[in-house]
Amino acid sequence: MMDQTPAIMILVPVFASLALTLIGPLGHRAAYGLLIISIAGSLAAALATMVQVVQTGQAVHYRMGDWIPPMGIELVIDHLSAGVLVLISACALLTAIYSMHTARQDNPDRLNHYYALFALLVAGLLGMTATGDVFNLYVLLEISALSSYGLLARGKGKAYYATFRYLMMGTIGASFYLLGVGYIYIMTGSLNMADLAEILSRPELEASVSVRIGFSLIILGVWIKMALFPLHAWLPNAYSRAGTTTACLIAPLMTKVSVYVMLRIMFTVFSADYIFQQIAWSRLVIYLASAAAVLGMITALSQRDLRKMLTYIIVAEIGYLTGGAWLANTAGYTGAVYHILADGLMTLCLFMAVGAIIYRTGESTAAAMQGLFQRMPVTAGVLLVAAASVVGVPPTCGFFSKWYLLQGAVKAGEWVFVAALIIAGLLAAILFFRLLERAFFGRLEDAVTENGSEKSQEVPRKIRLEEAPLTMLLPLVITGAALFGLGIYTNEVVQYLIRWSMPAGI
Amino acid sequence: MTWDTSLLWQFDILILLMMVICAVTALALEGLLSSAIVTGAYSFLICLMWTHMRAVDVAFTEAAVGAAISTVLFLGTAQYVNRWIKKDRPREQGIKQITLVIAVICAVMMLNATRDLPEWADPASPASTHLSPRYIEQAYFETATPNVVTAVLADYRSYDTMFEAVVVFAAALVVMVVLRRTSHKHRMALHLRPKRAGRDTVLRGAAQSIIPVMQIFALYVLFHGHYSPGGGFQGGVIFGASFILLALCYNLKFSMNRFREHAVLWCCAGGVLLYAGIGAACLAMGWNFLGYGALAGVLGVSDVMARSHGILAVEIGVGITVMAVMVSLYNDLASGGDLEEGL
Repeated sequence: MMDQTPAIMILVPVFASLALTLIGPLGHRAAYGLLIISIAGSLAAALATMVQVVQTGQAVHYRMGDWIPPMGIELVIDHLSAGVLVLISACALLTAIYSMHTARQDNPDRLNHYYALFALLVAGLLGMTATGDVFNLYVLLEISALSSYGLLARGKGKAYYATFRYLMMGTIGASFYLLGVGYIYIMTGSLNMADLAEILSRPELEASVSVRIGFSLIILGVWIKMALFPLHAWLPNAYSRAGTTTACLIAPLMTKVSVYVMLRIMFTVFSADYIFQQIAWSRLVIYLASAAAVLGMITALSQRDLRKMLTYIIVAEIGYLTGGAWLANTAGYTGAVYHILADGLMTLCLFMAVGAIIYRTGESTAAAMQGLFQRMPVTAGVLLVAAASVVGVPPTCGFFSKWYLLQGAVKAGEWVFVAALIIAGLLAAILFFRLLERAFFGRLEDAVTENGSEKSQEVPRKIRLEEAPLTMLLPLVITGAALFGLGIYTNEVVQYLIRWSMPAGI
Repeated sequence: MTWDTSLLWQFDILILLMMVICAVTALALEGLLSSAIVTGAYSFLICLMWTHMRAVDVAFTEAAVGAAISTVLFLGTAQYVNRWIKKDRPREQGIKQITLVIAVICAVMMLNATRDLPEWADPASPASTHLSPRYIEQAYFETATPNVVTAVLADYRSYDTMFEAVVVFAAALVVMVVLRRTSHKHRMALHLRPKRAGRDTVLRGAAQSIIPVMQIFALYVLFHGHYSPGGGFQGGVIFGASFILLALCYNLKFSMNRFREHAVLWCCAGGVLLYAGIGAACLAMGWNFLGYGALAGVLGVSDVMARSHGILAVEIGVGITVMAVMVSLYNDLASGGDLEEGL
């Protein structure tokens, strides 16, 4: 059974989604239970695969339909994808547990279909990460994209409109990717990543214009999907208007998996040599990444809506990740890969905490933060940890990724990126300090009486302890602890996972 | 006569020109209905193009999905869309101009790449020398399926095909989740829907005689996929189209009485379940997922024949899902989600 774990990991959510479509009459509890069991199964399989990869020290290959690649499709789980797979299934499981109250609140009808799309999205993301075939990646990209459109459209207010824009941008991105794969296929005749890598390293193809165009199209498509700075306009509205559960599921994972796809295309299909010697883009890309980091944080600072603030933080974090990947040295690569894991957890933690605040207060503006430490001490504490991680305070994992990224940037002599990292960090500190100051000191009635306004006749809102329900609190606390855990075990993660996945030539 | 000269290049240029005209017209037209019709014409032209490239399977799918069903779906949706012409503000004009510049740059880049692309239908191109010969030479001996396309689609790359069936299933699910919400904001729009009380006798008569033929043809396309162009996707689409025709010529109520909402949902999930279930059965019997050879023992045939039977079974799964999804999409889109009345 152990050698079947890669397939089981992806298929369990697929079967769950099919079953969830049909079990409407059994009620919401059955749907919730089935979702959690299936994703827990995925997580177990992902962990088993990771243990296998780390123990044997080589990638696990799984031949679909028992066909020898490149004739058939294979799944390849190496040190890089093993970590990302565990991240995806763990985040999805925590979100699934968290969803008990919020999903029902956001979906009074057809909860089972909502959960079916949830499971499909998880299957799509896992499949994208595990596959060793560029076309198969496209098919699973479509699955994750399609299910995310459905989930996001179930949001509030103008969610339809925002999702429609996302649908257009996402479709353009996916078409670019497919077109690029088409060019590569014409020039090589293969779709298997390992086979492609071998063919593309031939000198006549390294010089070919078509291959270069194919690469550009693929990378552009992936950049649209991961919302890199000038192509990010679809993200903030689509994510901030989504339901709470949807935001917790999609915000941490979709963009991170797209970054993973970028790394795969850059270093597995093409090579570090081709990217940094033949295509001299890295300077330009690092400028884009720096702009993303700084402008993302500045825009986040100017937002009043809590979730919109977080979505701009994602835009900034994508800047960190992209910059790290294009620095072309080991520290930068380590930082980028480590930051995929760290940022996935950080974003999840932030969105869960804000989701809990919105669930209890019903507001999503910064005013909802008033007196948070009295009302929801645990949520506020976890939010503090997540904020510390985004800013980059030492014991949390956010510090270590920044440390690697800074090291890499200094080593590469990219001073613009160094400056961007520091400025973005400071801006994040200002942003969270403002929020937490309000949460710690600010009380609504104090603010009103100080102004001496006569309007404060109404009874001041009494501050009671109203912590979020246990199903929300538990995943929140686990994620918060994971931020510390990942930080403390940085050495192990780098040593057992990231160092092994280091591409040749950087 | 070589392969190359047998292609009429003038014909290609003509089709290409007409496609460009259709594409520009579809964008320029103000009426959504006429736009939808022109898009259908575009699909038909590209279907000719595929046929000319000898990609008959693709052409078949394009004709069924692009030219037929999606046009009907567009028409069904267009009746609920209020449309007005917005005057562009200067900023939007600027953005549109930038978009045009970007599009032109992309086009120049791609045209630039055609320099070192292989010739059309070049037998020495990488695509025809790397994997294709192996598929063409071995597919029959390894899967007992004469149609190489079917063998690649449903066996060598059946994992892809399974997820393509899941994509189709997800499409139905997404439309259901978005449109069939209890809180309907656009009840207003539904007043615009014309009443379709009395249908034409001629239409009904035509439907009565054509639908059974369509359904038998759909089954033939599905089951003959081993030997000729066709298979689950095409057969499923044609079968689904027969129900849509029924709904068009009679009304939605009538077709939904024949194929109830619940049955549609079960078929949508059931087809994929059949596909993935066969894969999982192989896995349970000690082979890898979708290794149909595992079924040899159960079926009492050789490994190669088991692969052929496996292909047939998963094609049936694809057919069921595609058929039900087409019906479900039509029901939802043409009725605005309330399943009361369609086009």
